[in-house]
Amino acid sequence: MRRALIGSIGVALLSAGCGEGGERAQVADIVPDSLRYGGTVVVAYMAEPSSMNQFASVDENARELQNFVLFTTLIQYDENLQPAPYLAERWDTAATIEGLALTFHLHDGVRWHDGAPTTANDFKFTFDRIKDPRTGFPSASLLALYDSAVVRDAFTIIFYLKRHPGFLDPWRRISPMPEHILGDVPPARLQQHPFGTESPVGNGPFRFVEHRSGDRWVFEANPDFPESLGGRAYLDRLVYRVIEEPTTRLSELLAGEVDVYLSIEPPQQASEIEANPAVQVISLPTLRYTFINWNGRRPLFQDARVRRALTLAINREQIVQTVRNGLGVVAKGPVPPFHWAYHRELEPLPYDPDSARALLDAAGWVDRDGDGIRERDVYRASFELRTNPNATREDIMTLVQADLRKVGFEVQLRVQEAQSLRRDITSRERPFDAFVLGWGTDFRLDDRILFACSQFDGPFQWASYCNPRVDELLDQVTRLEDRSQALPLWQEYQEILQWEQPYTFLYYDVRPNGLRTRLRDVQMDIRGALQNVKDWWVEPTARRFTP
Amino acid sequence: MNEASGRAEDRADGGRALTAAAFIPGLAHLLRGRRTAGLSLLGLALAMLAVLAFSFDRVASTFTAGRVDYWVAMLTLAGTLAAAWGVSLRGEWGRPRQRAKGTSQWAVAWREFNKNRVAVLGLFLMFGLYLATLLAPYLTSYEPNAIGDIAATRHLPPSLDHLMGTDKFGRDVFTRVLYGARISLSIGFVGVSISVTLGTVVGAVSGYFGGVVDTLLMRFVDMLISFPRLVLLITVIALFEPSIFTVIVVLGLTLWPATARIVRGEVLSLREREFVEAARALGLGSPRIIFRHIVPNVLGPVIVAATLGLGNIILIEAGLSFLGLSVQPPTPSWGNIIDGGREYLVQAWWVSTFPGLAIVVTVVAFNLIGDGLRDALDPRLRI
Amino acid sequence: MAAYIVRRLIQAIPLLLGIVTLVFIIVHAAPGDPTAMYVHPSVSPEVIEQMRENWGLDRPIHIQYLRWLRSFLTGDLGVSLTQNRPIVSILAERIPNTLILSGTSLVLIFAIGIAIGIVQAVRQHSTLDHALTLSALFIYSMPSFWLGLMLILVFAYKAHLLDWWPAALKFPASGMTSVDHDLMSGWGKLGDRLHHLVLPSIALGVASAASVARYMRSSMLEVIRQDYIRTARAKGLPERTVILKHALKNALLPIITLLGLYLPFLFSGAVLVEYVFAWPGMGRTIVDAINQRDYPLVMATSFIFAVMVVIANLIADILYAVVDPRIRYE
Repeated sequence: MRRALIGSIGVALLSAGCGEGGERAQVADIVPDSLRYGGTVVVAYMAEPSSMNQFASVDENARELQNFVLFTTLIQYDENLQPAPYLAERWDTAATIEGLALTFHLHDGVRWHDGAPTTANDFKFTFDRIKDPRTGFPSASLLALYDSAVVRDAFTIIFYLKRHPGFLDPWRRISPMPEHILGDVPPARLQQHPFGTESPVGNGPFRFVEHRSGDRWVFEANPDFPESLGGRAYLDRLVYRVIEEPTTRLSELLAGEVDVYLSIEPPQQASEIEANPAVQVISLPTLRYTFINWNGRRPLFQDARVRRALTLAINREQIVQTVRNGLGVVAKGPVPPFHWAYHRELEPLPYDPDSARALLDAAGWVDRDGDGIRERDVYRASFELRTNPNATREDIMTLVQADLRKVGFEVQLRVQEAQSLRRDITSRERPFDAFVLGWGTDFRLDDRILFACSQFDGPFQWASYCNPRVDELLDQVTRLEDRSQALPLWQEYQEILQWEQPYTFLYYDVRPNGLRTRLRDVQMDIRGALQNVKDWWVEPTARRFTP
Repeated sequence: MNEASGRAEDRADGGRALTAAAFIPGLAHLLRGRRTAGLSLLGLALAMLAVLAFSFDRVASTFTAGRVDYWVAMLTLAGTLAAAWGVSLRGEWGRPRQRAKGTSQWAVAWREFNKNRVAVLGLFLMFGLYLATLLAPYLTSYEPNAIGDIAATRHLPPSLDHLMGTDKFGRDVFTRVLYGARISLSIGFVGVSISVTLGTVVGAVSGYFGGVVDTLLMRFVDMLISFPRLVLLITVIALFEPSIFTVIVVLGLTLWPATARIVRGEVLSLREREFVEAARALGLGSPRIIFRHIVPNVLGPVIVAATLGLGNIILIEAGLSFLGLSVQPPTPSWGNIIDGGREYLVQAWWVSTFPGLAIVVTVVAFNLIGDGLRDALDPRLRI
Repeated sequence: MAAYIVRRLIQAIPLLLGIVTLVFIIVHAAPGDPTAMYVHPSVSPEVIEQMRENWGLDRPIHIQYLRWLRSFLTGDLGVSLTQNRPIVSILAERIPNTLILSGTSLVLIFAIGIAIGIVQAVRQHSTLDHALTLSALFIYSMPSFWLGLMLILVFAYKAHLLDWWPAALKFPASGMTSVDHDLMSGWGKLGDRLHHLVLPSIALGVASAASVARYMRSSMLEVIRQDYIRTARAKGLPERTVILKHALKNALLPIITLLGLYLPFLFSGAVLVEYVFAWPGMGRTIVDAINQRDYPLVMATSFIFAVMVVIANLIADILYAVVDPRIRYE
């Protein structure tokens, strides 16, 4: 109440005043559990989570809120990315003629935020809608190898599926949807149902309070969250704010208006944050890498030697250092370092413009007319490099242009509006030379859509790359359930791509997040920045407001 | 300066002034007491000589560089020097030619404009700006897009080496602002030309013919005006691909309604005047009447609108760049230099600040000239 | 008067229809459609087709237009394709936000502009007058987003790092309210809102304030030269009374008409300023909608913008008539 009396100047200075003091006074790390409850945490991100309705959303930030805040999933991944029970207390599998029967035994104490119990029927409903094409569930391919679902009793559900490695993976990211609310909605209308943005009802550790579009999503602790799943979250409220302007995000974090700044962008702000004792930076590996795709249908990029020369000529370490402020790992292939199939022994191609020149000479690309640009036959080593409007990628292009100029390439840069770039690169005609983009992998890797011959005209085979051996490898690894058998094949795959360079893999993205030090027990990792949000707590003396 | 006594002095000092003027531009004007003209001619010549002296190497390299903009700079340099000399000499040897005391609208306006000291200052600013743009290769020893050792050169604060510091790639911000001026000023110039031409034609046609034509055209104008301008621009540019070409065309095609309204208003009153009646009685065709007899009489307000529009268009271009909807990197425009620096505003304030100041100064210059022209050309509008 | 307003509103109908039709054509002529944001490796082409069907994008363009027009005329603005919620409820959230920002700026523009204009007119040709004219000129020539960035840099960022900086001059850089807004007392809420309005409304309005000051100065100068002011002075009335009571009313006349002119300008500026200050208003809605090809939302937002401009113009005309009895509605 004291603070409310101070009046109209506002909370900015109040929380700053009290908050900073609290943070400087080194609070002992051992705060009794009972004192950890309370407080509001403000999370800021550059884009708005599109919807809490998983039938409609494709963005990662919406998915994190769904999986970790508003809903509970059947399973979770532990620190070693092994499946662990969550809403499903346990599961067992049995072989069938078709493949596999997967039985989940659900926790019986989880309730929807309106009081109804979460049962196997909700999962059956969710599964059926996902499989129903009329729903238009964006990630329907997650369950492509799943055939049907049968409810045995209120808390037991059986899925019938074909055997495949990582078959549990979808259940870490598919949240149940409440049948008693959405059951009567026609599938084709599900995506536009107000459930997603105005009145979502979940069953997770936090419940929905308010959504103001373009501004914030507000959640509060769910007091009825079962003890066995972790019990009530420590925080009273979680506010997810949308702030587009980078300088504004930084200002708000440093001023204490924001507690967690997700995905520091540009990464140079990280040094600014590290310099301030009230805030810290947590960098986590991600599932993404950034690459340049060379269109293999163009004469210039048909020869693997030329593609290798391009990679050798691009100073990728410098790109990571200048564009990403060192937050990134020079990439050597399509498997990110966190993944068990990552080839640890493989050395990334070095920055070596001299070898690049030699390779180009050998491939017949020589500068005959003395204009500094190489030619072969009637072709000129000149191409257009594109990207979508994105500061990081535009900067990368600028550096790549300068690097390639030094070995005799002429590069025109083109920043193309995202929608029309997507249309161009996914069209069958492949009307482009090369582009810089990012690719999001998954825990369950399947690169066939990127590099398999059968996908030559598919929407994602941008490199128009075809190697029968790679096809074989990619097919086998998606069938082998034993990782020790699959690993050598994964490694061979990475070695071949390293040699043939259908892409120039630039770097594996690292995601820096900024947070106030008054916020405790935050564990962000590859599973997501919010993955343990229910364990976060704020130092009691540094909370912003207690009514 | 009192004209009569000035001329008397002239005659007395005639011989001396003539000799001096042959060597030093502007001196003759100074001796005759025409301070502003004299000082500006002198300053101009000195500035050109200074450029020649300080960056002699770069001027000399014009012959080997084989680049068009070097030759343009060379021509500008030589042309400006020659012009300064020429004006100076003509003013002298042309004597005792009377300064033309024209009574045409334009001559009157020019004298009016000249009396307005701030407006003349604006004119000087603008002139200097264009000159600097043309001379860009001689004024800086850096290339706008060249990237060197990034680690050693990025985000250097302003210093004597880098007047406005360096950006995230270690490129010299002063150089980029200088080269960016070309883009920003050209977009302004071409965009305004398109919109003013279009606006004049539509306005004149609408006002002259009246009736259904007028109603239709003016409803269309109302429609475009009833739409927040930036929203319209964003809609069109974002949907098609942003590039210098799109921006110029779209700006040109969306900014004309204001001019059209002004012209229409003028034409409505002109259309009933005797000289138009006379032209009609002579059996002249409508296009001829509109473009030969009416349009010249509405040029005053159009020029004012164009000048003020130039400043405006530069501001709009900057706004579009801010949303990533204008000239694309690495080509610099003032707007996209600000945009490129805004993510690093806290770490390197100079990258966004200086191009912003350049915009402010330029727009101030255009507004000063525009106000001056308005006062001179259209006394009714004076505020 | 009422008849006049009604007539003006009826006249606006074809205008508004024209605008939405124009926007429909532009938006649909552009490459790309809303399903593009679902182009994602896990999304199969069949799903995309299904979405197009669900959204009615598989029909011929003229059918889409007629369908849209029909529901539009019956007051149904449709559902946003990207936010998956009724557009009416999106707009209901966003319109007030933009009006709050533009309204505050408008008040600021006229309050500051008129005050400075009067001071300048009264002290014509003084150093103060020249200094104010010059600074107004510079402020008038600043890009609003750039000014916004500079304000954040100084008053939100640097200010928080300096201990001696007066707390009242540290401003929040984003949003409309603090996160604890709901928990504050009534006055606290108001203060919080105003505190959040300071920087954005300055960034948005200060350029126009400079131009209002210019108009006010010249209008005031013209009035002061009039005979009745001379008479008032001759009667020995104090200068203060002469200026504020007699001259001001007439000098304000031409200024009031500016109101209608500035509103569209403010809405334009709001687009950029809303971006810089994370202000959840209409400007950001339309830019986001355009980028994601959210056709129904683009149409609805442009329509609302046009309506706001039409209303602004109408208000300006009415105000003009109220202050100037010589104007009659017929």
